[in-house]
Amino acid sequence: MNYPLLSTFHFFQLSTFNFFQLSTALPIVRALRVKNFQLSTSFNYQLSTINYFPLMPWNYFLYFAVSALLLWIAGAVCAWVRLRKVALCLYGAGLLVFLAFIVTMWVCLQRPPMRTLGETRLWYSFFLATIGFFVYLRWKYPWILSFSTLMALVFICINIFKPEIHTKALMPALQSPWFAPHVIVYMFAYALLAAATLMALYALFAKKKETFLPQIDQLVALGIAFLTFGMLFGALWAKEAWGHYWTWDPKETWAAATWFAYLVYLHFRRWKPLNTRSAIAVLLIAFCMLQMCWWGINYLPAAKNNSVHTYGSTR
Amino acid sequence: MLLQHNILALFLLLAVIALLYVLGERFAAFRVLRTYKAAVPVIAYVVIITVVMGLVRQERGGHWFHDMLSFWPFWLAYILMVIVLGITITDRIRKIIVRRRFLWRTDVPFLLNHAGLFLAIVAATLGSADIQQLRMMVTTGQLQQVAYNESGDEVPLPFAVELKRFIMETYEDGSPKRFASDLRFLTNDRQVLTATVDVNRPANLKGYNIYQFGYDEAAGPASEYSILQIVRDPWLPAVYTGIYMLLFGALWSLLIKKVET
Repeated sequence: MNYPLLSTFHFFQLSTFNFFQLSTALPIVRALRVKNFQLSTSFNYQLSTINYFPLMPWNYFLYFAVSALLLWIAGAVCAWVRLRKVALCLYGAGLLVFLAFIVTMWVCLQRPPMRTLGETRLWYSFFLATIGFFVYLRWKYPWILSFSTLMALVFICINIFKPEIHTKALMPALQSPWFAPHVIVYMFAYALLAAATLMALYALFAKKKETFLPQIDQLVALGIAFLTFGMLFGALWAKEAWGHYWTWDPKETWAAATWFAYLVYLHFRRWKPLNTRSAIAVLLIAFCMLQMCWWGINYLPAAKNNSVHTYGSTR
Repeated sequence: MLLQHNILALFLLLAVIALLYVLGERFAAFRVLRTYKAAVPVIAYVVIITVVMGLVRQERGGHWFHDMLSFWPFWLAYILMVIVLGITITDRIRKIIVRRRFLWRTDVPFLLNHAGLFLAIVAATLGSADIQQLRMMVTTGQLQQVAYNESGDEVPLPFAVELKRFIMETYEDGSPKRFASDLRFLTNDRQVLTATVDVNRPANLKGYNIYQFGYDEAAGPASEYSILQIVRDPWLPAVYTGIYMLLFGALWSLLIKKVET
């Protein structure tokens, strides 16, 4: 057994028991039994596509996720009380724990764990936390670690309580290296802009609106950068998959409208920096459009059965 | 012939931008075009017209809001935006020249973002007249040299295609996991080439991208034909330059941004 990670072997041994009980009849199981679990040699790509197999590392997800989350929360708390170095160390340790789980899965599956929704959410949580780490490292906002931890928590919880990890078959159109980055940067942009909107709502009822605006501006600027990535990754992917980079599909139309709406905010802030009420109004309208783009169009008569972006629950 | 039309349109656009910029030197009313006072309403107009497009079901040949791509208020929004973009870019370049100093922190993202968007929109719009989007049905043992465009006209290609083998894999529930075509090409200059075309993995030959598009869905893996989509887009490099400028502009603004707390 020449595993890069000792722990991988450990998980596999522990989890094989249930696995065999459940599905002894499967040919794959018989094949594996004959080979005496010499996975590193006998486990080729074809075998790895059997649906039951990826379940095994997931059994240990809870332990990794909880330890990573505890480290992240500890780091976030330290950031608030200005213990910068401690915060970075704790938060970084959390990232390593989470990464260890992803690497383990990668080794177990012998393919990048990006195919199912659950696997994508794994990366999403990881990237959210990682980006939070680097933003904190670079810009020193004390709130960013709490924010990224919270976002990661949401998606970890979905993975724990509603896994959908085994039966989701990925249709050919989605089997692309663009899939994960396209979705992940969009999700991150949505997250940042949601935070900006929350802060704007808070500012709307606060006495000194102006004090919040600089932080909102920074969140929106980050959000727009990630919206740009998401939209253009989508365009580059669309060229590969459908033959054209932009087809004014309903999802694309709304994505463009949303992107421009945030550009209105960006330019309006520079035009009339003192008119905070209108700026906040623009932000709220833009956020409504974002919701339309994200999930609203699924209920829009104009877009129904008319979008190439409908993959059931994949997006 | 079409190329001439859109090249002409390009020069017209650049001339309008130059003219409006020069008029801005003389008249305050035109100088406004260089400011946020012009940028914000123009982008807002683009947002509104795009939202209308998103709210109304789009049909080719539909009336008014139902076919935005051929409705003039839609065009006007994007043309106005491109003009204001062009004037803004010109103004910034001039400022850089006048101050004799290039500010990496602000000039680079400004130019990448604005010029990138300008290039992407202009090239995509003018280039759309030159795009060839064709379909072709290929079967085994038969060389095909004719594809069909959207209106069903035959379009000859500089190569012929033959299906060597249609590949299909399914999931346990029978839904498609992979469908692809093993193809053989014979070019007009007598080269023989082979390629496997997968969904998400097009082949490229003589400026044409060849995509796996469809198959006989009733027959599934036993499909005797494969449908290819063949696309030629000579303006693509310009559009991609714009897209990558926007991407690097976004990246730059992420990396360079200063804390203002």
